[in-house]
Amino acid sequence: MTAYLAAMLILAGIYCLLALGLNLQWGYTGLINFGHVGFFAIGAYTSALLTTQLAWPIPAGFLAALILAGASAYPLGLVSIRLRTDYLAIVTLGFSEVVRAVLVNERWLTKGTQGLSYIPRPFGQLPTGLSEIAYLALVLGVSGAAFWMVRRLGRSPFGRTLEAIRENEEAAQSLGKYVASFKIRSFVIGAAIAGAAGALYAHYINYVVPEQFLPLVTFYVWMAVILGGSGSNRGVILGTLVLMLFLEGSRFAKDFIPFVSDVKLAALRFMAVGLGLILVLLYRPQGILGRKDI
Amino acid sequence: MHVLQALANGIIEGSILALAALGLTLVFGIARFPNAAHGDYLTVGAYGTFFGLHFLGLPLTLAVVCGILVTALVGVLFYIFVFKKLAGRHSAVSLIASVGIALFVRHAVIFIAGTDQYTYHLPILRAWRVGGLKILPMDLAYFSVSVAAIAAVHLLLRYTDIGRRMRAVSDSPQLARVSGIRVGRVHLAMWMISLSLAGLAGILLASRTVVSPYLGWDILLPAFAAAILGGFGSPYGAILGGAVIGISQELAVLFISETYKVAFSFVIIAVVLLVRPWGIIGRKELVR
Repeated sequence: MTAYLAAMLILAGIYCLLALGLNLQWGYTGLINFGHVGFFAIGAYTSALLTTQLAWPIPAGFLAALILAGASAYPLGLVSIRLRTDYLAIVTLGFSEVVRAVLVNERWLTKGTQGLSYIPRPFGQLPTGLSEIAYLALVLGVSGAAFWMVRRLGRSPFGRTLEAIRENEEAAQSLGKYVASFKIRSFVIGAAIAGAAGALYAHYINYVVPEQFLPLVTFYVWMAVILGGSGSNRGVILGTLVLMLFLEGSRFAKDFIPFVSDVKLAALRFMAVGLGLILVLLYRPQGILGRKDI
Repeated sequence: MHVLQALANGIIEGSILALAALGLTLVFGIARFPNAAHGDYLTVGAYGTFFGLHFLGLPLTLAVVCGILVTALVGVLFYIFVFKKLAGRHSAVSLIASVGIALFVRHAVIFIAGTDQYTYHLPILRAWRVGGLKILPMDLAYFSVSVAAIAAVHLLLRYTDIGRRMRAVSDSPQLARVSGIRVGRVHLAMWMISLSLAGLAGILLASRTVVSPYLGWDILLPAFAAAILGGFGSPYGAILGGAVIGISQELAVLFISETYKVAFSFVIIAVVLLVRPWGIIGRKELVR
């Protein structure tokens, strides 16, 4: 039970990181990133490859994951950030699908659909139970640091400029703010946070396959952010926890509805997430804890 | 010879892609957001026709009509209950809601029909050989249907009253409104056309391959690429973009792996946005 709880909390912590990254991009800046899972995947594979193939120490792999995920966001930002934000949505969605195609195809590097395994886990030498708890502490530490950083960023002049851009781009520009540069920086930092989440994920699960990085992951994170409240860091963490509770809880629903097959139950769960997203946008756009209307 | 064969396939593929991109671009031109659920509307059309053929026992033409009607019904419901209510808000909200709709529709399809693949069991005709080229008679039929549908949309936009109103709203919603055009009706008409095109494209796509839950989602990105290449919001641009992407995609597959098709669309989107974001014949003011 403790192990199960620890596993759930670790995954929740990783999703919180993803949500914080997206909150910086969407909640603070109004950027639509539909390819969050692409940066998550880059982080996961970077750290996995460096620590298994080149025997880098795990912290170095983690740092490389963060940097590479952030760096890969930069050219995407250059392509589309000057345009309507809809274009960034399409570009990032395409990007995450391309990342997955690369992971499947470039077998010499990623071993294709077979994936990479035997990724080392920090604290793996500790006895089972204790090792999970140590890892949980690490994940919570990283999420806490990200939470603190995004909050500090949000309250700094940088963050206030981002909010000004979200509210009224022309006004921000006329005040002499270089809008594109602010947007790109916000986008890159958010992607780097997703990369960090990817590294934590890879070292926890111990193997990575392209199947883990479907666009669905991105939309889970969106659901968490919209539900919790765009722009509120506490809100998106709450949103993530509610979503995780729902996803986990609905697994047990099978015990109560025996006549529905697994496939149908999974489909129902996704339908509920989609419908939930629509309903929140329609009737409570500020989410649970959001500060204002989007 | 491979090149010519790929060209022939590309023209047919491109005509179907043009239908999908045309539907997307109409929504973008008038409702002003990229509809991420468009791909899954294609899937609904494909399943609607399968349902008509195999459960209602309809003849093929009626089954096609059934597929299109089901798509239009589903899409119009989402228009009335979601997009219409979000119309006053930032376009980003509609875009995010459309992702929710995409998830919902795709998994509703899986909930009802499962993840198995189906086929329409259309008659299998022997391929014609034209100077070494293999051409399936059914492919020619699909091509003619798409061209007819595109021509119908062209006539509708160019020569009918509602078409003129649609173009007016697309050019300037405010001016259209003050000149007495009922913008709500124009939106409804636009959705009907876009959804019919989506349904038809899904049916054609499924006829060439199989009916499966990811049919439409998988073509969403190429359709976006086609619409953006032509100029997002421009109907004629979308047709052109569809043809160009369909053909070049088939040619590209001669050199790159099939699974990199998606990368091909991505590269086209990126290059167009860098060099000429308003596309071949789009309007600049829709880009920013």
